[in-house]
Amino acid sequence: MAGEALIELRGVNKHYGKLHVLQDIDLTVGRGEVVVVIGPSGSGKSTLCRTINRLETIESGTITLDGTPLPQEGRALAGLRAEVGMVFQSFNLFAHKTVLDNITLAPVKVRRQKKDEAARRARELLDRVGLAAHADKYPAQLSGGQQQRVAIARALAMDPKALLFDEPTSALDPEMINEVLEVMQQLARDGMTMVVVCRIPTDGARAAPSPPCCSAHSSPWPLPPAAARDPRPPRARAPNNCRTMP
Amino acid sequence: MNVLLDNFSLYGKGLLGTVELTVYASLLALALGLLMAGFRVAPVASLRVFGTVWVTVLRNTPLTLLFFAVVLGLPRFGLVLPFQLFAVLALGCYTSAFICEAVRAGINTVPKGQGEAARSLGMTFPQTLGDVVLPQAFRSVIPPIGSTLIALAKNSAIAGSFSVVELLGTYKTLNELGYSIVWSFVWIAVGYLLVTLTISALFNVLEKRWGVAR
Repeated sequence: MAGEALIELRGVNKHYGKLHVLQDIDLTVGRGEVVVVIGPSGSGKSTLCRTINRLETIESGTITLDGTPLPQEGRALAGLRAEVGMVFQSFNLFAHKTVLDNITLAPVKVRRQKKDEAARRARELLDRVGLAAHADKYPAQLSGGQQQRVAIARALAMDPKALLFDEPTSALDPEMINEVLEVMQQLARDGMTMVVVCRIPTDGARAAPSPPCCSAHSSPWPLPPAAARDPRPPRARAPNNCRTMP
Repeated sequence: MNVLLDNFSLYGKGLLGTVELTVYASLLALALGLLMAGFRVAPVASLRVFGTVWVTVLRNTPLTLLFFAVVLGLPRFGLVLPFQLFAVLALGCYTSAFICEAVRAGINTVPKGQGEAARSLGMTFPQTLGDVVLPQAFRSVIPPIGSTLIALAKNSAIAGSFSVVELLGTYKTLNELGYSIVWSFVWIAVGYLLVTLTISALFNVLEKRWGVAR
């Protein structure tokens, strides 16, 4: 286990109507660890990811972030969310703001950074995700892969302790997946704590640093190189590598 | 034509009254409507209930009844104000319910994910609403709010029955003076057209300026 636990879920349960989507989930994510959550559509991967910053509420169980239990709705929750970045499947950039303003909005409003300081940092981050030239464009003017990289930069601008990726490459054309994965790999190498939800395990595995790529119940397993070429459906080949949803 | 020229100042006063009612009541309706729309999507249940009750009561009550309630009801509680202010209150509150629903419809046009992204960055509910959702909702609510304010301008005619100087009320005086009722009304209608077409033009400009561009 990599260092102390940063994100800890204990006995988490959630229903959507009659569907018991999260059943007694335990998950520990150590500091600097990359955990990949995989499973078929509708198995609750995204829900699990979204409970960690309370975009979804849970019915029972506990979630602690860096030792602090997740607060109820309100200012304390907002403060805690600022510490955990999230990257969405559909990017969710603010359509009425430029790329630069997308990144600086939260640092200025939440962290009370000065505008020029936030802008300077935003340009650094854009440079890091390879989009320095696009700072003044609007999200609609960018390709999907570029938008997702902006979304990653936006999350990084808050200097989060951990990043949650909710199927970050699922809405992308195949040729754009790589540019996003490269950014994620770099983040993993830099020691960012990450929870990556993905339908296709190879994407998640590639995002994680090698050799220990994924965690099942927080224990890292080496990823067999054959996994990427494994013809079996994701569920069948997953359990050895990753945390799978039942 | 004589009706207008002979009674220009009477018409002028009436038109001014209608314009004043429309402007003040619009400002009140916009402020309250925006606030109530915020309440109706708030994470706090009691605010949502308040907003829903506000809209349900005001939107489903005849405006004349509301005027009676304000003009006759409030003085009973010791609140005695000029009639014009009562009229602005009644018109503004009534219209705010419609503004609220238009704004809420606009809020629903903004993809939910953007609100989630804002919240996941640690922004509070008022910040999310004010910096991310409303600026985008604003663009799609310009046309319906324009219609609502035009309706407000015309609804202000009811105030004439409650001793407020406004355009429609001028017909009584003109009638007593023996002018042709048809021509009196034609010029009154022209006055209303002036007000409503101005609102239309204003909202056309707003829509050209802010309505598209994504």
